[in-house]
Amino acid sequence: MSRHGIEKARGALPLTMVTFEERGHGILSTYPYEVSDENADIFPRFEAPVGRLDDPVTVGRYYQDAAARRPANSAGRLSAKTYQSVGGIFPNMSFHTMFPRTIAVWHPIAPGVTEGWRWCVVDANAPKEVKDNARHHFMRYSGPTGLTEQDDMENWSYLTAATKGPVARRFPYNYQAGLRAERADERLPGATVSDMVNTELSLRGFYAAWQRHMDSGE
Amino acid sequence: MTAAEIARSSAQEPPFRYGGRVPPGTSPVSLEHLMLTREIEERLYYEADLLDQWRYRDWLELTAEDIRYWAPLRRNVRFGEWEHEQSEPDGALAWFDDNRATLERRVLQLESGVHWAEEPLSRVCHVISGIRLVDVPPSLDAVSEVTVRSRFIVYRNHQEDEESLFIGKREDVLRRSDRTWLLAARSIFIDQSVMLSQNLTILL
Repeated sequence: MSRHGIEKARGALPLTMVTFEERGHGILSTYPYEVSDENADIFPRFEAPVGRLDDPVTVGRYYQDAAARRPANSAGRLSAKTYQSVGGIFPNMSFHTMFPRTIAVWHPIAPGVTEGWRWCVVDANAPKEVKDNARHHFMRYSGPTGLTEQDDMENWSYLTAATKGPVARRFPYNYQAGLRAERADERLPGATVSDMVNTELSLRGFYAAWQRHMDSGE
Repeated sequence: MTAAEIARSSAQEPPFRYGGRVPPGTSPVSLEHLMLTREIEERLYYEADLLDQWRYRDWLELTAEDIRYWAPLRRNVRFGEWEHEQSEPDGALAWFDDNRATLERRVLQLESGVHWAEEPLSRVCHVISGIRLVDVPPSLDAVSEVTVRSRFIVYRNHQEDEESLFIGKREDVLRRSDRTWLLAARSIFIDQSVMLSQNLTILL
């Protein structure tokens, strides 16, 4: 697999952090753009079988067809779709958009304990080979056995443990990264946008919404 | 019961499924059956040694080119609805559904030294028990492939105080090759619905 697609799309379209502070949602993606022949192909390449049932020829043809149809399908609308972008919907849902294309739901079980569910999304009308390819890709990537998220699990559980320490509890957390580098954007009503990738803009939006709910007295 | 009869009767046994009907075991009355069982036990214990000594590359070499390494999810279902208790073998998500190429990538990651969940490598102990042959085609006299069930308790200690315990059943297909038995299929039934460890970074 190569990242051919996103490199091409990102060439003209740098990443942007967007938050909707009124709601607490946020996304890291490209700045919304009009799909053209130049940036239509955002799909990864599967050149050789990797998953158990992989058929790279059928899968490749499917995504090439999708790329070819994309400018017509997207005409007149803005897109922020890239090979991979991530975001969160307040209060406990988050998502990856393309590969892996998954929805995560975070269930609060007890103080310090969260149960994560991940839903894997495939195109309903795709051939079985494409669904199998995506499913195997998601399984290899996601969850406690996923090659990538095995390491994420370490971060998630240790940062939970670290917040319980006496020193961690003595000081407020610092979410200043990228402060004052954000701006309103006329194309995205209600949104605050930052061209910095290493900004805590979306976290400020999330926790501001959380605090409003906590303070609402309901 | 003759060796051939044992082979025939055990060949009818359905694949392992929680809550499924399992016919009474056939007694390993013949010497051939006993010796084959011992040989397979030795193979499974050797494999446990390889995994517990971080010899993942050597473990990989004992797998067949067409291996399927599969660990279904386990669901909480109503009484009697056990056919939905584990995720389906095809078209559903699983903890693992690997082939040789993806197992190779898991091994590469374990060998990389920058895999934080396994840096430093965990201390791992595979306890394998309850080893039972359930399918021996075509006959005990000319065995090419066996299906064997076992129970496992796998302990993992990482860093200082991090502990995980994985307990469950395995159903393996072992195929005779020139020198040894190659692992041609492994189904792993972890006896947990929600995974209670933060991750599963090791091979079971």
